[in-house]
Amino acid sequence: MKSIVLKKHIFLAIVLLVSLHMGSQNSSEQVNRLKRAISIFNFAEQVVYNDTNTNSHFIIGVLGKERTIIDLRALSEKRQLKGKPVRILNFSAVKDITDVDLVYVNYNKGFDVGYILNKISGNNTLLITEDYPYNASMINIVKVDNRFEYEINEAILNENNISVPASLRIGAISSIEKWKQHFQDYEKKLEKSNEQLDKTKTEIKLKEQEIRNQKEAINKKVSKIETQGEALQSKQNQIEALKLVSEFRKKKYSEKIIIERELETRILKQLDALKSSQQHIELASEKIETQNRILSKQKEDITVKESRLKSINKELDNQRIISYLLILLSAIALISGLLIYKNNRSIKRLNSALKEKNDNIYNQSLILASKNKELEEFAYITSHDLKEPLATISGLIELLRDDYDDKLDEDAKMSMEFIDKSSKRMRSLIDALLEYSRLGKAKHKVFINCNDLLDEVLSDLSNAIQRFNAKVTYNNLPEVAGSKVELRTLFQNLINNAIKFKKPDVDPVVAISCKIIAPEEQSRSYFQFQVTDNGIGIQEQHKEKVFAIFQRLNSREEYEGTGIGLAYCKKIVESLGGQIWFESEFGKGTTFYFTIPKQSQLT
Amino acid sequence: MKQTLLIDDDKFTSFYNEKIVKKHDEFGVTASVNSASAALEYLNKALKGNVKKPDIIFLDINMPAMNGWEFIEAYNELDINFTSSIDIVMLTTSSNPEDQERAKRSSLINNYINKPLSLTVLDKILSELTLSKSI
Repeated sequence: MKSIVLKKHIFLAIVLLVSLHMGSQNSSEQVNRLKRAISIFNFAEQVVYNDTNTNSHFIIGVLGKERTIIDLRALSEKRQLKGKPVRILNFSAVKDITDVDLVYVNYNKGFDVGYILNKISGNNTLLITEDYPYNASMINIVKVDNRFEYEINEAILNENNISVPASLRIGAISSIEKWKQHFQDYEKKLEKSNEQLDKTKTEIKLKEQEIRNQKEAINKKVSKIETQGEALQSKQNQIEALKLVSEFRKKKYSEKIIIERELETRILKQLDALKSSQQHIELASEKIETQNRILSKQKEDITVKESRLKSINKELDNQRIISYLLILLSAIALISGLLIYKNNRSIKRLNSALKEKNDNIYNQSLILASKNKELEEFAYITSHDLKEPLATISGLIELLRDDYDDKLDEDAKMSMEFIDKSSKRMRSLIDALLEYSRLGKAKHKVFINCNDLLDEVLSDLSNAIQRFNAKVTYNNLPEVAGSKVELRTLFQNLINNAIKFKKPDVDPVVAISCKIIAPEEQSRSYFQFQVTDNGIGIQEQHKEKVFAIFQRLNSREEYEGTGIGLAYCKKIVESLGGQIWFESEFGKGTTFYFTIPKQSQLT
Repeated sequence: MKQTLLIDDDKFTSFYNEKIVKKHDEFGVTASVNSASAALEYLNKALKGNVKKPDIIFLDINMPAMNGWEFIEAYNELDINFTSSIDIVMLTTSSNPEDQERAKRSSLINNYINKPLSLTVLDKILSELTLSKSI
């Protein structure tokens, strides 16, 4: 392709050189243009259009952009053709050609002559070409020196129904040899310029090579932008130099300008290519830069991450140390846990043992409670069953006395009285026993002022006190928690005994007092009461019997009573959580002591 | 004259009680039975009008089979129009305070007397009955 293009250029250059050589001056150039237009008009006037044309104008069509159009139009204002005014049309493409009388085309516009002939065939149109190959067209003109030579292809003209007059035939170049002869004359003249042309050609080739090399180099060395920039610069310099050269040549050989222009455009194209590749390179370098930036960013990230990693590592180290410590701690905890567990187990074992004991105690207390209940019920039932017949006996004796008193003798009466007394005594014993069994059962405790209580007790005992002329003293007694009935029984029995067991010729004196004690072995404190008398006293050997039930130390004739009083006292005191005892000197008197726990609130 | 129904399982006691009640001018004996079920039987007959209706019942507590309290429960089931005019006196040797309390709580029981029965006791019962009636 390149070679073909080059050839074309060379040919063009030759034509140009010829024309330029021929008309080295501007005026001669204008003359040539006028000559061309006149030639065209002359050809049109001389050929014979064999068919009649009814058009009002003679129309000439020019293919391509052509200065000739201007020349033809200028001429058309002065001349008519075939007796008609002339109109000049311009076609940019072969397909645009309309029904015209004449078509002019120059070879340098690059139109295919075959295509043109095909287009105009049958239209009775004359085709005048310039610089086309020999015998290719109808009339082909060529400028030799300062005149136009022409050759005629009569065969084609005849095909288009156009005939050529003899006058025209004479002036035409008749053969290819002649056509060639014309050129041979120029060839010699052209040799010189050809040599120069060759030189330029080689130069061009060299430069092309250079450019190719550079291109390759550019392609190869994408990364070396700077060196390429320099190469570019140098190339530009060379181009500048070339420009200078071509400018110089322009002055001397204007044909060179075109070549150099061509070159320039090529170079420019290549420059453009270079530029685009440079842009590519720039883009690539930008990309590289952005990638570099990204890379540096990533590097920064990496450094940041590294530092983070370092800190994390440090943390990990710390955590490892902590973990070790934790493991140590957990080991300690485990060991201590084991120890605690062991301890707990033993405690649990002990607890379970304790619980078992407690359960046993609880069970035993339940058994005891039920036994107590049983005993109580037994006492009631027994007493009822025992008392029932006694009541009947007493009642019947009463009846007998009422109804048969006058019929009985003294012995019978006495017997009856003994039966009555015995049954009554039995009743009182049974009642005493019942009372005893009921003692200590009081669940309801209240605070009792002992001073007030003793007032009541003494008023109850007022008969005995008066009878024995007794003196009972007490003061400043405390409030104690307990059952009023039981406490009254307690004091009543103790005071009653103190008065009852008096020495025959001594008035009884009884002193009651109280103090607070706190025994060492006990956690609580107690009220300790004492009841002191000046009575007969208790012999040492009877000490154990004093608090036993129905135990009498003296005959019933001497001292009346059931012998249950102190048994009551013991039971009452012990049910309150206290103790009772006595100190006595036989014949001088006795002191009974009892304790009651000091309570701040009721339970 | 208060007509009395005596309830006591002990024959000797019943004999004695009958004697005392009959001796008193204000009391008469309609019947003397030895069990609570016999007493209920008598009362059912009286309800039909077959036997004389008592004005007052002397009731022992401790009896075999049906005791005094169980009798009270059964008695409570009887027609109120019939029983409302009858007074019940518990006559017992029981010194169990629970029994006394229970007797006090019951609206059917008018008095609680410890054996043995005597003319004095009867006088007391009479006076208390008239007193409670007048109130």
